[in-house]
Amino acid sequence: MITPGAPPVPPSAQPAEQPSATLSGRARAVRLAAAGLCMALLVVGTFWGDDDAFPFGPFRMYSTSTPPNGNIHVMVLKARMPDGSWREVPLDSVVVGVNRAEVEGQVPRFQAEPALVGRLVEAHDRLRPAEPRWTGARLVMRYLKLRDRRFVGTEEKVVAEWLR
Amino acid sequence: MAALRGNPLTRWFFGPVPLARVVVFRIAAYLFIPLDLLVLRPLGSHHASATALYKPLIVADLLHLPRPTPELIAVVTWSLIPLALVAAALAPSGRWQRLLGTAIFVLYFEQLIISFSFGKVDHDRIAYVVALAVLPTVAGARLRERGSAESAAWALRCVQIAVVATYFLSAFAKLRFGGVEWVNSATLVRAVMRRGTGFGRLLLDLPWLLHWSQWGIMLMELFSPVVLFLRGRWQRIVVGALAGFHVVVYATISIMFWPHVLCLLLAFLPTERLVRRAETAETGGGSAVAAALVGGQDAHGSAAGEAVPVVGDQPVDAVGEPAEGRDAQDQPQR
Repeated sequence: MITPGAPPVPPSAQPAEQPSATLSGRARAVRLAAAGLCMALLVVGTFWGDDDAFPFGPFRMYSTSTPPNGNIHVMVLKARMPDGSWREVPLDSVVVGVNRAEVEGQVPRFQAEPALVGRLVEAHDRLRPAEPRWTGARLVMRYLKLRDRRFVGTEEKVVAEWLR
Repeated sequence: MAALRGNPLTRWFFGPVPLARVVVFRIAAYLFIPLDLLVLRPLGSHHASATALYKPLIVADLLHLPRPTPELIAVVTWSLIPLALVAAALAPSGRWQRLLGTAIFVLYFEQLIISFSFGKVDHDRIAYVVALAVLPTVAGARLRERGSAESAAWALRCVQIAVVATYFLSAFAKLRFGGVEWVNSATLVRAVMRRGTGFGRLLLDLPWLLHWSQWGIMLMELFSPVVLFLRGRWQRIVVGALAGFHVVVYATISIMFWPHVLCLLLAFLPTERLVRRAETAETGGGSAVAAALVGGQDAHGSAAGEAVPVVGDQPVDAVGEPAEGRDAQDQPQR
């Protein structure tokens, strides 16, 4: 820990080689006030805000509880191919412009306005012009069922559907 | 300085920090931008194909920000990248940092607002946004500057607080949204089932391990503010442990808080030693620093034991320590 000839000094009390640049009282006050205001807003957002309060929203990643005997929800996208068959396709921003978490964050909107599923199909047209054009798509909520924290089975439910 | 000694809060916020540490932070933070926009999170270009799904944040409405169009997304992205590269290149000389840094902060913030307006907000960016906001407030920071400054101390403290807040406040988000039963829920099983790696999926056979990990995470988050008040070796050990946590998360569910870990390492560690060591070794400051920085960023993805780029154990002001003995300093000492 101790280097010979150089006693450990806390960083805040170190004698710098050159004199340290100080701030005026006003500059310090402004900085303290700014830091205090941002911290206060972040605390308010944590307890009363939601994601749309970014940058002061709650850090809610993986904050919800999945009961040990409950269901895990996974949104999947199924697309109708030109031959009429349905196939599960990646719900990913490189394929449909948005990713799974983003779609899951807007489920009520898709339910209220199934035409939005068509926007995913159109985004696929633009992002993957070389692939066959989908003639429709449906968002499906897949429920992975748990018993004692172990996976025991799957159920599915259509959230929204759009056909060209 | 008399006032500094008198008030513990002021002393804690403004106890001088070497200016070179800010320069190292600037270089890494600005070099991260092209990496972020082009490789790690190139969402902007994809969102341009799905602007119908735009769902504005409160801040976008308050600031009357325009609804994103493919053109706006392109302009923001492609002006940020050259600005960031120029800022990183000029950071060692300290030139244009306030102007460039402010422009980068504004553009990056707008870029984030756009990309978080599609139904999903990431929580690994707060410390980085704070860093971009405070880095331009430090004047006179040059790579070979041996002095320290109160402005540098405040800037790095703000980033440290934001890093810690990301852990600490997320514990309260869990209590708020998941309730106290969060610690006994199957949330980590969910995380692994939804996006587990091959390694992570092995853990599904050990549900008790995932269960108790939730207790560990909650305790880690609640006690995270301790790192703000540690010093020297203990602080570096905790920083290394936190970086190790992110490595484990990455290995199990392929989520990495890249900008957050960058801030964790660069705001807490005495990175000015990279510069001084490079100078002492006379290997040409710039290239050695660059090599050391690359090592530091690589450390995010490497083993936990290597997560700390330079872990000298001498006091911060022991300038000009010879380069030898670096490995020895990495060993735990008594």
